[in-house]
Amino acid sequence: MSDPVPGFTERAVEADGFTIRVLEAGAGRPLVYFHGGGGLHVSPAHRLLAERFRVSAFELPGFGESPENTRTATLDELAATMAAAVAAAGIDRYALYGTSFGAATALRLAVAFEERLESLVLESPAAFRDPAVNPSALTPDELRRALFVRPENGPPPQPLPVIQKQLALLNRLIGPAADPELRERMRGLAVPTLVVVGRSDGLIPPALGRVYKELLVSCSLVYVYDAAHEVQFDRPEALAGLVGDFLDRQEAFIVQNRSHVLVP
Amino acid sequence: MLFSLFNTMGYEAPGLPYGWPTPAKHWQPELARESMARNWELCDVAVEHGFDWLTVAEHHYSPGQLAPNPVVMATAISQRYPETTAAVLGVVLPLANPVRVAEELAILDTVADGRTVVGFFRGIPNEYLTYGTNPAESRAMYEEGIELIMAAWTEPEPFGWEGRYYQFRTVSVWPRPLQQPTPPIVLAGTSPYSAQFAARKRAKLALSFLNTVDAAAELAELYRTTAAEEGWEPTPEDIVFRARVYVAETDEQAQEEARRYDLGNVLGRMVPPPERMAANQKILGAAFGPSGFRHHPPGPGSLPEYLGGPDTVARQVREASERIGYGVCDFIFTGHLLPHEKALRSLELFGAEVVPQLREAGVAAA
Repeated sequence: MSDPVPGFTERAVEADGFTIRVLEAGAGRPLVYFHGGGGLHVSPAHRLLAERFRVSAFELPGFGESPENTRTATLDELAATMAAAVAAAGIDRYALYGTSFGAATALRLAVAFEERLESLVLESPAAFRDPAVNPSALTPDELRRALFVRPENGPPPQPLPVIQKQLALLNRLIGPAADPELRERMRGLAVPTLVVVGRSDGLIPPALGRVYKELLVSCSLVYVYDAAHEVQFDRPEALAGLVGDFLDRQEAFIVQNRSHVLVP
Repeated sequence: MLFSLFNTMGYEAPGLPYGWPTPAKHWQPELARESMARNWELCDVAVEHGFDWLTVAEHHYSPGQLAPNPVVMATAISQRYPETTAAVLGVVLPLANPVRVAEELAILDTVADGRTVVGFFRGIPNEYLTYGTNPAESRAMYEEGIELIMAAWTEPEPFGWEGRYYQFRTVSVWPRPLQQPTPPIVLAGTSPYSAQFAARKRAKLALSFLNTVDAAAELAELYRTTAAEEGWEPTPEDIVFRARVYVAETDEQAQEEARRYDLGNVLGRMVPPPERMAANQKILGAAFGPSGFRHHPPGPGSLPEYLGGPDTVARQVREASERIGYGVCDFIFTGHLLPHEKALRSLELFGAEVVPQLREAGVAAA
């Protein structure tokens, strides 16, 4: 097991024969989190969200220090395993929030198990990508610039074998850059969805954010300025504020509710 | 080479006070009508002589320019002069709601049938006093505002914007600019940083009232070098050079009248009277310092960049445009002390005798 994360408790749940690590903090309505291809890191945005919600951040099987995952065959299978893991953690109906690869997984969970979700948040989702951009082909320096406007705010790098194990799994599961079948399934998805895209994302072109807006029944697309792929590390306060407001008010979060009064 | 009349659209009347802001009690409707008639006359002469652009700029709380919203004035220009490009050079972006600016400029481009050029400037620091903009945040607001306007003009779906200075949960601007994807964009480049920024944004560069040809040439070269690093090559018509011009029948007459009417003084009536100088310096110090704005435009006692009889001015402009590499002459022919008839004569001489020489000489090359 890794070092405990300050402020977060750790437990493990069993699903489909995997032992899955869960980091948890806060109290309130349940907010389930799936991480991206870089593995599970608690970001400042998670800490801010844990001030208002019960945050449960799950480690996808095959990531971090968990054993290599050679069993899961598709992203839909991974989503089903994760749905079972969340249920095994005793969480019935929840807001689901995923980042990048985790957002692609969360979207697959949503189309299969929509009835379990209050709302869906996709941060820099990787369900649709530019086939010309191959993260594995980037140098470490290029990758950091694609991921962060401010790399110094990012999480510490993982050991190379862990990175390689995670990337191999990601590349095996992530599927085509644009999956027509997924597009069709998305058209039937009505759960209120927030798509957050960093305006300086170097990994997934920000313009692809519009695909979700076009396909989903209820989708709010928000661009975060001065943020790259890792919005939660580049602009954690902005992201947490946005997500918190969306979880509270869903589609109505476009209505201004802050007073304009300067001096009462 | 393109020719632009930078029309300050000023209000002139005897006895107007010096300093900024100017008390509005000095405004009179009849004099405003007369001022606008003179301003339209200048536009008429420029258009008769085949000027390519009519340019207006944003300045506030002063009779120097009657276009605090330059988009409104440019819209009027676009309807009076349907063969000429209406240039907004520019919007002082840190003062405004960028989404509103995107909407206004799109209306202008639509009613002007796509004959517009759009500049986004940071403004001289006194402008930040207009609506209470913090000078220290003006650059960051400017840069974010440009990104937001570009998104507002190009994103196909409604979107929210979570900025550092601007937050909008729903943006879906109608109309779009007629010129797709955007009208030509001009960014101010009176500092090395901003010249590089313009090149990185693949925008045209505006150089305004620089004190020496060398300073302008250095900034233009930095712009071209940075553009090359970014993988594109500006043409001379990507560099807009704003300067003061005075043409008279002879060099001697031009020199004498330029001194008499203080024609190189860009600040005009903004220079405060002596008894208010100390207070003014205190305010400007508080505005200039945090803004990072270091360019001090030429003040009282300066001479216009281009000054003389027609042949002399043609030679001066040709030499400077070759040295700097600019291909758009955005020239100002008026001055707060210069009688209207003399400004008109200067513009006529320029249009009739200088422009043909320069057009014949061809486009500038750095």
